[in-house]
Amino acid sequence: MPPEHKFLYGIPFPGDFLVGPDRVVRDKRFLPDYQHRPSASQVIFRNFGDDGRGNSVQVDAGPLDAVISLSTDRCFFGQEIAVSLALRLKPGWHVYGAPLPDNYQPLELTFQSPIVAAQSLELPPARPLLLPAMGQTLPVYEGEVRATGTVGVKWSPPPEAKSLSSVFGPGMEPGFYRIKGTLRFQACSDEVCEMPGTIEFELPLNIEAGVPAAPPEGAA
Amino acid sequence: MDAKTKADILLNTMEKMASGKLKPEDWRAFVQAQNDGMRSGLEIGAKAPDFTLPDHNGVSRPLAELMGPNGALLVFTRSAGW
Repeated sequence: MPPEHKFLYGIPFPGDFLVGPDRVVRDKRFLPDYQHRPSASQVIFRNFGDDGRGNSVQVDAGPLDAVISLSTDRCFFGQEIAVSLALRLKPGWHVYGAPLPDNYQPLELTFQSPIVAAQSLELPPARPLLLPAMGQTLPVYEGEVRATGTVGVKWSPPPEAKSLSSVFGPGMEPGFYRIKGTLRFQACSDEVCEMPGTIEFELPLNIEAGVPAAPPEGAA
Repeated sequence: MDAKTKADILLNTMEKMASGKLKPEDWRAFVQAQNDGMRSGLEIGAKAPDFTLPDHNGVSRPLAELMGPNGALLVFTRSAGW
């Protein structure tokens, strides 16, 4: 293989190890997809929790309020960042978990943006609650609900890989984006059951341009 | 995947990239060849060797030096930019 084509010598796999003070591996994660990889903020979030460096938005809808946060305010195309949801319900109120009959709305947090390629949210287990008026037992959340997930930002070929444009197209432009999100829920109390609610919000995210490769070892 | 097949795929990719004729199926074959034999090292519960590797400034760092009171988080990035 000609040495000038080092681009073709391999695609390292992004991953991380959490090692204890006794050098025993406590956790690890490697991704086989070269186009998507965790951001540093997501790795830190997953292992140590939210450090408060990302943008967040607070929403309010009567019986509940919620804070939705990203793990960072900036990343590169193709990176995965963490998202957290901290929802608080007024005493006596609940929202529904899943699974539910068709005519109910479970708690959902989703993002809609041209730069979002994948997303996930892991909600805690909901508590079964007998609703005597309806004769049904349904999964509900009460009090405080905390959930975490990921937002995968779309991959875009870097400027130095122009030859990949025949496969992936021209790519996307780095810059400032507003990621639209939607929180869906249905809040009920012992006395009243509200219609399914939807709160739309935006979270800013700066997509940074790629950084130039480090000079080869020994270069002046 | 044997070494010759992998080399043929890599060379084919290189030639098509140079000529601007790279197709999605060529790229998928290239990635599959790159992924062939992927290993991700130590499993959870295994003990890491007390290795020494150069850091981003070229300074040798033994694992013991990186350890904090709760251990260390070792991150392997594919690249900083893409």
